Amino acid sequence: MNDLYLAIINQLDNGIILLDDQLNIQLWNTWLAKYTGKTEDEVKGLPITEVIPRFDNNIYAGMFEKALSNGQKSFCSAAMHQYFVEGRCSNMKQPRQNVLIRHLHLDDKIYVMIEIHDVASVYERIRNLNKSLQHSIGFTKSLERFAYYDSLTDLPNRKFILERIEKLIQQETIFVLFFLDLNGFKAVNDQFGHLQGDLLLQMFAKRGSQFICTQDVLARLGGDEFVLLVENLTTLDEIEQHMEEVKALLEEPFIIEGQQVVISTSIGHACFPRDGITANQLLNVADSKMYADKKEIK
Amino acid sequence: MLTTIQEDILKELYNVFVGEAANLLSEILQKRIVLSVPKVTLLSLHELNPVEQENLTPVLNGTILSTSLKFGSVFSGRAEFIFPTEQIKYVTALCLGEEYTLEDEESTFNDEDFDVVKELGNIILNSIMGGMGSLLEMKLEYDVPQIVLHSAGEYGRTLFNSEESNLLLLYVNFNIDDSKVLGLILIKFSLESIEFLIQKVDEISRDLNE
Amino acid sequence: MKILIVDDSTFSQKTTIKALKTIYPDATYETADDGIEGIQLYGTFLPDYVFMDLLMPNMNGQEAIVHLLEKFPEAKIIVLSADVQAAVREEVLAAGAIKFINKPINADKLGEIKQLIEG
Repeated sequence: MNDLYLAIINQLDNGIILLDDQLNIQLWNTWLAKYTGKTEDEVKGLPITEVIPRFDNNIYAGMFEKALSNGQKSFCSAAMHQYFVEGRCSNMKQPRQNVLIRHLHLDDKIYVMIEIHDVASVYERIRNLNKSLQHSIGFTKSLERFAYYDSLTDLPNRKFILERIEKLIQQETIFVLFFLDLNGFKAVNDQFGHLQGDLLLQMFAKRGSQFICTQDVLARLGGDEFVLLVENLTTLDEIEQHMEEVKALLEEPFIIEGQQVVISTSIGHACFPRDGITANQLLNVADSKMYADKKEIK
Repeated sequence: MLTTIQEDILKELYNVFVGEAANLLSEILQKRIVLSVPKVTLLSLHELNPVEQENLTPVLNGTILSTSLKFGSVFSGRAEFIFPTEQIKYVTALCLGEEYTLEDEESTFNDEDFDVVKELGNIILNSIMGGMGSLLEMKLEYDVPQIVLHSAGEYGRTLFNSEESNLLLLYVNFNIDDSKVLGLILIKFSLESIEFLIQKVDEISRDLNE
Repeated sequence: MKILIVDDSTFSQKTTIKALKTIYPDATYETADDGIEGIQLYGTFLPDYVFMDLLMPNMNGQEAIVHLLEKFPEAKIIVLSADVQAAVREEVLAAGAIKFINKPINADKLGEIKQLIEG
């Protein structure tokens, strides 16, 4: 064979084997010699199944036969076949190889050409890349969570609800803001301590979240103040009814240290666009109505 | 476009081709593969109205991976094996002997997934093209299939705009274990090729009734 | 000799009969399009041999073999299928079929059939 072509084949970064029509090895390039430790002189003329025992199988016999008789090409993926040639060192990492089997027709002679690609390092690189990508996605998500969610109750925080309100105002979507304040929270803190007070807030948040629909938002502004945002409530009756439902739900006793604790909720509301056209205006209206409600209770 | 007899003959021939592919796949994966009765339809794409195009096969409207090869010179066309993407992670996990978990579905495809699909396509298209070649008594030249990832709907649009208007649709269900892995084989022909194929099928039919 | 062919494809029924006629030109042939029809026909036709396809609508070959042998334990069933997986072959032989032959039928396979029938 032409020396230049041979030199090129020996420079390739994958294994090339050429078999004659009796499936004996005619060419074994330098990549394979380095990978397996067997030189071309050692393997030339030997049957392929003797040199690479993993090819000694009906599946591959069929592929060789089809390549010779029909010119059919076969691709074997590492995922389905793992590997074909063993590495020189036994302590090498698990080999993974893609193989392409095809025919060559030259000067009235037919050969089978086998290309072997080592994909172990490629797959590993991609896997690592994916992993670090997943990590950074995870990190971004946790930052986002930190910025937009309350760490105690896991509810959306003030920043989140303000942005949502502004977005809805921009889209001119009708919505109602309910301002919620717990009555008797201070007494729980005094009687049971701050840890139990925090627990009460968490239980309150959990029960409140179960009540709301998917597009509604229950957010914690701070302390024992919460905001509930509900879209598409229009009539006063609907709003009143909604308020009563929230109150009733949150008036059910909470259990703290085995004792039933009943707290009530004062609620004030503001409707967009009737009661204001900025987030601050709406929150102020809802806040002052809540205070009026609170005075009524006292 | 096909008479009942022509369709019956084509179906039975493809049955044999697909059976051979399933056998090789089952040997490689060491798994029993359950085949369904295949469906064969011959269509002229340009004669379909938009609604018919949309309803042609729901698989084509989703995200899909296709393995495709061009074959032949005299008898020519393009054969494709279509694979809905949600099945790919499952098949790769199966090949690697890994437990398939749902969260895998969200992760992106890697080269390993593409290689698996390339091999599946190669096995199935080899059986079909090999069988077609012996049926037509000619050697069909073709290469290892190329893999292309198509976003939702993109494949269908390209298909209906392609020049080769005649399409042989072959639906096959390959079930591995309990999962339904549906592959769709599409073969597009040039007009002369389709006439040639039908001629051959008629010949077979005539021989049989002699 | 009476032979029943159970296959959903008319083409395949005809191919099988044509091939079998080259070795048994004087046999009587009947066809059924699926497993259910095959079992019904068996009772009236009482064939010496049944050639059974596997991939069929309504009742597939595997089910038909089980049901047929339940009703007629003496039935001699030869499976003729394009599904050539080793697991499938084992399955139908375990179910009681006496032979498994890959489609398509050819001269070699006809020899095998002749040997099986004539011993």
